[in-house]
Amino acid sequence: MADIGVRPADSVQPKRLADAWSVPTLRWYQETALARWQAAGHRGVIALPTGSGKTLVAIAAIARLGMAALCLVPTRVLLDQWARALAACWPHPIGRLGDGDHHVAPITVATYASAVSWAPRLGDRFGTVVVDEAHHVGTWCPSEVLEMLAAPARLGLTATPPSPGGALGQRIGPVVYSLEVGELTGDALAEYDVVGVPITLGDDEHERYRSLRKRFSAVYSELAHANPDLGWNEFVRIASRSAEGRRALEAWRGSRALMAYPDGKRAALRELLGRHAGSRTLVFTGDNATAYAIARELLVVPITHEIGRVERAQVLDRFRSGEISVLVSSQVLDEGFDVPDADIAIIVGGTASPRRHVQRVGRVLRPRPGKRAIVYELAVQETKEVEYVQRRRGGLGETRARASIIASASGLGPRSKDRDPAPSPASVLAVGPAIGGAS
Amino acid sequence: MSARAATELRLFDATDAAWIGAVLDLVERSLGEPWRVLLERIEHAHLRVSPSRVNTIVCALRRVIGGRADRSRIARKVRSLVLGHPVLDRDARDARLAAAGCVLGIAPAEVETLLWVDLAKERPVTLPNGRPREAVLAAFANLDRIQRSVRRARAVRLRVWDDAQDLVRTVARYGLLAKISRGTDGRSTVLDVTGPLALFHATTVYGRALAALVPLLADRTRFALDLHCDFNGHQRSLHVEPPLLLPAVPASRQRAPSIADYLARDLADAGHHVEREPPPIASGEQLLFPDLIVERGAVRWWVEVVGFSTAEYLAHKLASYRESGIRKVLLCVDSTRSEGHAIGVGSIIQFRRRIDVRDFERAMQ
Repeated sequence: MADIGVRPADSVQPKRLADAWSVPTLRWYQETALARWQAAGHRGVIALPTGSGKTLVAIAAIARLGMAALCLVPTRVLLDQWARALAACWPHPIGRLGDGDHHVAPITVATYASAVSWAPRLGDRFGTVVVDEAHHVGTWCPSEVLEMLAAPARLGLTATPPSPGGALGQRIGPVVYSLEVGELTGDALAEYDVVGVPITLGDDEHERYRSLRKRFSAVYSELAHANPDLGWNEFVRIASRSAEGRRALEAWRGSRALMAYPDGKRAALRELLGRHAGSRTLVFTGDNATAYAIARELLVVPITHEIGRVERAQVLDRFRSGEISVLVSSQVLDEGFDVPDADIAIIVGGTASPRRHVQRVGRVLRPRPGKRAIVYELAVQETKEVEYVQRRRGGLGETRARASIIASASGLGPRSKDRDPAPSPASVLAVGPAIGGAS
Repeated sequence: MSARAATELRLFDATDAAWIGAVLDLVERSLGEPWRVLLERIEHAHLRVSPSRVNTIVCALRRVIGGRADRSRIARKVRSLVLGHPVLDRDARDARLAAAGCVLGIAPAEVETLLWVDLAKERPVTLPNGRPREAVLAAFANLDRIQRSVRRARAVRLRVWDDAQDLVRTVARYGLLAKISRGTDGRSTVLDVTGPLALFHATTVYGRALAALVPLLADRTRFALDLHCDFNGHQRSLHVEPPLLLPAVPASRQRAPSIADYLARDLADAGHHVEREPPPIASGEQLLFPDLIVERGAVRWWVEVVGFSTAEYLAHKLASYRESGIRKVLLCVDSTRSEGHAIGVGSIIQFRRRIDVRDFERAMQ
């Protein structure tokens, strides 16, 4: 084409937005984050803890750039949440792609799933693309979506940035600003205590646990010895082929199930809920089976993927109004869910993932005058769970965390927010090392 | 296409009865417990069959004993009455269940059963009609496996003996892309149906329509179904012919009128003489099944309603009619299921949901 004098234009000319924004004043760290992103050429990831106002940073970024923007979110719940937040700052209709809506406007919110099918048709219409929960880029949010969008300005938001490089770095940019929970505690986030609650297995449970772990370890050690690079998936694949291997896997599952909700956790949970009766409490479990077991026993509301959208919304309204005070969930409340303010989190079970832990703790950190949240972590002594607790706590940031680790001899922490006893070294060691000094 | 040879898919027969019986034993052991517990027991049982065969039987179990989620409205109502602040002792728990039972007019034990009845994994295991026979589960498992395969097929060949008219009409009714011809033996009819994976869009909807054809095979004493399918890049082939365990075709329910039925009625109301489902027309080796013949004065128009279509498919169909000596043909094409047709001929009427008689009359003019 150049030979015949044709010069192709390859620039995006998105619609300019009218200056009709009414964005609330940003906090110091939000301004700093935005400035860093602008300085990085309008590309990059801002990592702020859950509840610290990432959405507002994105809205301010869109407003200041004044270009049509597409916001990508993982779930339908977040689609609603974002559309509401944008509508509060922008007087024109907000486009929505997903959850049955197919309306495109200069400011549009789309679920990742809808963006997959719409990106080829919308690629040139937006100057800014915002990706919420950006750590999912390359997995839940396919990289191809971001390849099909020509938007030069790209902003990723996350509470838990993945390691540098990878799909996120290529499609959005590097992390340009990052704060951890501890750095905002008492400022943009509520003060909180982390209370380790050591759980002891009963004699029968302990014996069963030992026997199951022994059966599993015998097979695992043998295979791992023969193959030093053995990964978990590879182990499962090999073990599934033999009766002995299948028995080992069954034993592993049995030990996990036993650890998930033994009698000690059952008693501790009742004790904690009794102590904080009336306080808004989120109970996190390691799996749905435990969530339903708790719901059955205590007649509290479980929030799982099986509970429909309408019912979830009703439950959250009841939780917000105080009609119900406890929600129990394994994963749904972890992220991508607009959970009303809560004061207490009780972590009955979970994985070793620091990312998931940060998301969970963030659920009770929405600030309120005079609020001091408490996060209880139940961990079965002398099991792998103690190791999980230690590993996941790294996600909260060790340097400036104001969280206090309090574990009383009874294992159930302070009775009131005013009481702040010195940690019992024995109990702290039983649960894991402190991640910060007492406040 | 993968260079590897396609693997033959295995259906279920009497040789599977023993391990299916073991699964049913577990069902009986799990009565009243959540489905989740049953599924864990099945997973841990050493059944000595591949996980995919076990999964297929679990799907069949859900169909037969009702493991699917239902009664969601009542379950939601029960949950809204029962679940709330935590109950920390037995008495408070019993009192809450009793209070909900009073409101609903049922016993507290039933309240507890209804709490999770709409959740697939949490609802209690029940055997409302007693323990099913192993052969029944195998039949539903076969149905499931064949239906899954046709949904992933590129091409399906169905050969039927005896009267094929009903089956062909059903194919047309579901709007499937099919070429129908006489078998080489002169006594069979061959339906070459395009598989969903040969299409570029609406593959799920099309696959569902094609799968709906499978249960009807249970009525046939003689047929042969051949297909090649693709499961995540793995090529599979399937050959099915009687004797085969398949669930009995459910007693025919009132058939909803088809688009062709509505068109026939509207044309008759407009004063046209209409003949429904005329006999098939031979076009070379192929057979054509028009839905209507409409008489306008001395001229007879052959009408066929087409569901899913491509430009090539429509061109081929028109050519076949011409080859059989029929010039006055009108193809009514569902525009929501067509992949665009650039054929600039007046023989095609596009419609959405229902055919407008005025469009039809204009086309005849």
